[in-house]
Amino acid sequence: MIENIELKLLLEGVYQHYGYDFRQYAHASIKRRIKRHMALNNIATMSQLQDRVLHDVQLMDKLFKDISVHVTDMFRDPDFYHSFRNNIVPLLHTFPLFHIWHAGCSTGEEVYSLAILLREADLLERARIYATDINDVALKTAQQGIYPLSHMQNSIALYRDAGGREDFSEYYVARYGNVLFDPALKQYITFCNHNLVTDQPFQRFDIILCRNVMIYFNTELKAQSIKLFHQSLNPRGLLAVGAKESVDMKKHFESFDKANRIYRKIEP
Amino acid sequence: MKSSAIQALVMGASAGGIEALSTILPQLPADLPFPIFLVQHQKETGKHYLCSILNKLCPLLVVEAEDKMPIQTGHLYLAPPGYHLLIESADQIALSRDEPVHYCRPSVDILFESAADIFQSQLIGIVLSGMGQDGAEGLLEINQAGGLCAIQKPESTPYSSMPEAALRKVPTAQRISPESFALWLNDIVSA
Repeated sequence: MIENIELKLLLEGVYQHYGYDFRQYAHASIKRRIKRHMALNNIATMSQLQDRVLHDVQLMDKLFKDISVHVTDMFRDPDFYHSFRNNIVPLLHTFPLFHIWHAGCSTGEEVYSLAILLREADLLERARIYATDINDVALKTAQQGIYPLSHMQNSIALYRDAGGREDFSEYYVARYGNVLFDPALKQYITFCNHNLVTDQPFQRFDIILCRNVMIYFNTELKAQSIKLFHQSLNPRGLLAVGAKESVDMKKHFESFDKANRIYRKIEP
Repeated sequence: MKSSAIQALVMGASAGGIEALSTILPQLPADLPFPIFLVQHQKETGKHYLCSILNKLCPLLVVEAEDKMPIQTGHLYLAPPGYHLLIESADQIALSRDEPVHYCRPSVDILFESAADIFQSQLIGIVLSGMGQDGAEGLLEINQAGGLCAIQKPESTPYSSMPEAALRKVPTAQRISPESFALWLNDIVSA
């Protein structure tokens, strides 16, 4: 069991020494991840972990990865993609050019899902997508667009559930147990590092996707992130969060698709 | 244990769980003085029917848990398919999409461990019917935090490996049968 005081000391130390700020992450999940990190690295106590992390950059890299990487799949939550296709695509057809921010894209599976959906809607050329994450290793995977072949069976099923009608295997080539997604899909995607905790708005967007990222934040950091998204959206821009999250800021957002947790910016 | 001492009840179930819950939930009083948290294994792509099924069985309000939902006494919070359910603080729920544990998401272990961390000895943990071993580690953590541990009597279900695995980890866990759940709980709460 990790005491709250030990957790706070570790996160404060990591912030002071390395500048990585996990101090406002939700406790329950981060404790579990730290416990797993300790078990994998044969570290018995929190004070040992703190001591080693502050003197061992490589261990810090591992801890950073264990805390910040979130596993994801292509077309996860098929209902959301249905809604995007039915409710958002018709709007996007009225834009000559539009900007999307995928905040917390992790290893990129959901960004490629979005690109595939936009291509099928004949909209990909008009899209400028910024896919950001705090983890450079995850971003590199996203940029490469290489995933295990073994994941594709599940991806194909989810793609079908999400209303996909094409032959999904046309979007990648398989070799040596991996698949490489069609590089044309990422032609309009810019992958870059952005930290929701410390970084500022960097441009205006028409749509922001931040799904199942803020579940790892505490209430204050979540509210701060939603304000950042509000500032980063064009008037009447859309914010999509995960299926089991909500945006409870009535002055800033109204519901666009209640069931699928898509919100529309209103000016306060 | 005094009734006021109990702050929460956590339950985990897998195969055969719906049968056990169908017997247990109707016995609960509507004015239960603490919340219940439930992980029932189901397909990740499950369509959220379980919540309405359980609501019909149960005098308490059954709600599918959402991230950062406030915890209210007398509610039963059900883990949604595809998410782990965790207790963030005595008054707030958290969800996570971390990797499955023992191939399960939601995982009983994750709920139990986070609940033990928050409620310590003021917690009841029960492993119900199921195959596999999810819940055993979590029940041990509840036991180590001083909480009250119980399992569904293995002979009361055809899917007994989950309660049996929990019993191996916590040999002192009480063995309860779904039919007499209310009596058992009443004894604890009013003891």
